[in-house]
Amino acid sequence: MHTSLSKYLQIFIIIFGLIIISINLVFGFFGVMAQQERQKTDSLEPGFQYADLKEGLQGVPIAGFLTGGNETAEGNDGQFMLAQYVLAPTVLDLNNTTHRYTILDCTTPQEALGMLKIINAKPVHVNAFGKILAEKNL
Amino acid sequence: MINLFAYMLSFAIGFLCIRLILGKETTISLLLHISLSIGLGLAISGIITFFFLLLYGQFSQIGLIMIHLLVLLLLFTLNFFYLPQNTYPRPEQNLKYEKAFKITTLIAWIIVITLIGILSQQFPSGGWDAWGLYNMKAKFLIYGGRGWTNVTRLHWHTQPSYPLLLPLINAWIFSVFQKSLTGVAATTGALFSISCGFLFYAGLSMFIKRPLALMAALVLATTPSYIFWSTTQYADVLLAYYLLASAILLILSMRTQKPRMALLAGLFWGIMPLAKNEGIVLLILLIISTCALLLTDKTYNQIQSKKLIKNLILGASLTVFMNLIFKIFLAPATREVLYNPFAYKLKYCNLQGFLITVHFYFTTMISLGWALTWGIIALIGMINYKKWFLLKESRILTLVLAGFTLSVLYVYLMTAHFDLTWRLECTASRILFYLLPTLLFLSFYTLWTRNPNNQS
Repeated sequence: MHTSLSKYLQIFIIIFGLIIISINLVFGFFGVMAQQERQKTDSLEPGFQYADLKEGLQGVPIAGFLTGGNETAEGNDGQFMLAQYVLAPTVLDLNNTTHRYTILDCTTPQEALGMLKIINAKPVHVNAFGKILAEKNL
Repeated sequence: MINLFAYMLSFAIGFLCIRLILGKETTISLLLHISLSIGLGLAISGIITFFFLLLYGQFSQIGLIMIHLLVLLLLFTLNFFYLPQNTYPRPEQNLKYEKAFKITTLIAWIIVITLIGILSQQFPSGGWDAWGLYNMKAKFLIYGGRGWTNVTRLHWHTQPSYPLLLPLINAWIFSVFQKSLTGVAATTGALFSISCGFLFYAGLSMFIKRPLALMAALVLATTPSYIFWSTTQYADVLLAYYLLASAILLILSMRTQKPRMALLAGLFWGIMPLAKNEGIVLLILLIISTCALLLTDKTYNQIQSKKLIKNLILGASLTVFMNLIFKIFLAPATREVLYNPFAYKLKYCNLQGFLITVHFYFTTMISLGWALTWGIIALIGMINYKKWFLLKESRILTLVLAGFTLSVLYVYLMTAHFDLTWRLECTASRILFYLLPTLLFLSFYTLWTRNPNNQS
């Protein structure tokens, strides 16, 4: 490439770079302002709906997880991922009812009763969010 | 903030380790030494934590701290006896306004650190994959007792085959003061985000004028999408950092032809697979491309080239060893890559699948958060492509990136378990994010560096 043309292009790149930094800093400033606003509201830990079931699963290495929702990878597994995060280090086994303990995520009491009957279990703990820790009838 | 002691301990291990590897004839600047020490130290801490869990059987605060202190003491003793003093190459001092430049640099980094520090609080518990995968796995490592290996028995939607470096680092940092795992994960993310920008500047200023290197580093570190993805607490920022470090050390190894530098480069190459599965592909491509060029290029001394290759592979083997054990004995096979695609009905392995993928990547690149940054890379690529291919080191890295692009394309076209658009939505931005620092680095490096062989 011709030396003088190359020089001009390099100067152009420097100016372009400085413009990018300026624009980025403006975006950054607005981002910081928005963040300051967000900090005023309390944020809840993911999976807080399942937090109180943890006590009943102390020392339990694996438990089943049943839901009335659509738990697919594309749906990011919604409730299952939330429950697994909060209840770790207990492994949750999605759609497996053979374990002693099972977590139920149901939208209605009727659905919950139906599930309990199918898996032959009784509720050990039901929380305010309708999440159920069930234990198999032995 | 209280966990800073643990980060400092890892940093000291990394610093002393690099000093010991490079020996008396240090060919890197103090700034680059510091930038590399953060990443190497934390990776060593992660590896120590993994082997501790494996051998002792469970997490132990005292055990982990004791081992770290022992390693530090050993490295300090070795450094003290073998390398009582060393000197760093001085940067070119011909800047007319040296003092003004130093003040500008300081102010610029304070702004960047403040910006990243504040914006890293956007998700207190991290992005979806951060808490759903990495932070959740850290809980297994810390609270799982002897059942910590259950981390590999998790449902496949939580990716039990993913490498464990990030959860291991967070578990180690948490072990020291045992305060707020989410705080630790956020600090690690912000630290790698800042360190990657700092490494970019330190590395680039080894080859081009410092003001230009600073400008390029600021373009990267202030890019909104860079800050967003690097602070979501995902493992992508680790891969971005280690890939950039690998590229810088490859260039230094090729230029200096020093086997010790190659050993250090190899160590960083081997860390990539510990961060993400894509790191395995990058490591293999780096080894193949570098060996091919060093062995076929007759301008290199073949004996020296073989020494370099030996050290690169030795270094990579030392760090990748942990991942081999994890992959062979613990982790289940990944479902994300099809090793026998003929066994599945592939509905995206056609021209439409290819066009969807290309279009999605293009749309992602021109999105508001980083369109200008990709624009400057494209612009430099267009005006500088001849020199890009003249420089041997950029030829190797181009081969690596081209091979990696083909691998990624293969994975997309062979999608069988997911919807392709959903998969692209989840991965495209993140792949572009961890490639961004290295591509931007290469653009500025090739445009402004002098060709050591005077070919341009």
